[in-house]
Amino acid sequence: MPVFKKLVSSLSAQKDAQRKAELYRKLMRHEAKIGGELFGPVRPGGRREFFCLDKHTWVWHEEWVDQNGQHQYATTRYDFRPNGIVKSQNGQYRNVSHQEARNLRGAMLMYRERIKNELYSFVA
Amino acid sequence: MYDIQDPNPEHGFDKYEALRQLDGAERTSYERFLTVNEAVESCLEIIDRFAPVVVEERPKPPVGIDSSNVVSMEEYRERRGMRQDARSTINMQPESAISMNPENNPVIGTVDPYANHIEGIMNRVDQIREQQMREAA
Repeated sequence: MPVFKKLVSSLSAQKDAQRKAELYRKLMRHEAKIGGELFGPVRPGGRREFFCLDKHTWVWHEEWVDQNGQHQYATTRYDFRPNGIVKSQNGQYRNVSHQEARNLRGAMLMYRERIKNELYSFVA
Repeated sequence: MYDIQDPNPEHGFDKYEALRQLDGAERTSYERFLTVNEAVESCLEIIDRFAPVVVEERPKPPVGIDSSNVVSMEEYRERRGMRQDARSTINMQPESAISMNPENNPVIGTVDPYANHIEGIMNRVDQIREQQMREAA
């Protein structure tokens, strides 16, 4: 194959991969927005996102303004491992109570249902 | 094009076959959905092992109230040969923590904060019971 043709083919493949990665990120951002609506209203000036990062990880991100007008945030990450759930919040590890695990279960089911209907109904 | 929305298994629906036949944005979307779907399934399995979900949990009586004599309203009526009476349902739901076993008076624990309230309920129950016995006689 001539060098020029190889180069064009390689660039095209790269562009496809970039487009795919960008679309994947966009889909996740949209899911995070939908996921943030599962837990009720957000505090004024706040923001909430909840999404599936990969097959074993779920993320809940919350931002709010405290009583002193300071901007606060908490990023909670749930890592699912064969021997249990590991939760880290702003880098600190915490226990997951049974109630929290059950709430998470409900949230995941609702999440799947919502994104299926609102984002992926044309393929899922 | 393979109809990926065809839910009939006899038509040979295969999500991976469907995936192979998708291109571009559709394929990426479908891949993402499959990832989420698999994540939900595997995470639910772990949660259920870690914190089994209680499908039905019978309400527990408040502390201090003896529930050993709790019977259902149907059972109570059957024992007493009582007829259905709207008034008899007052404070006598099957899940009520108050014992309605006719062989024993309602067994109430000594929970001070609720003593007056419970006493009121007992009086009302006694009134209804007496009225029903009069009517049945």
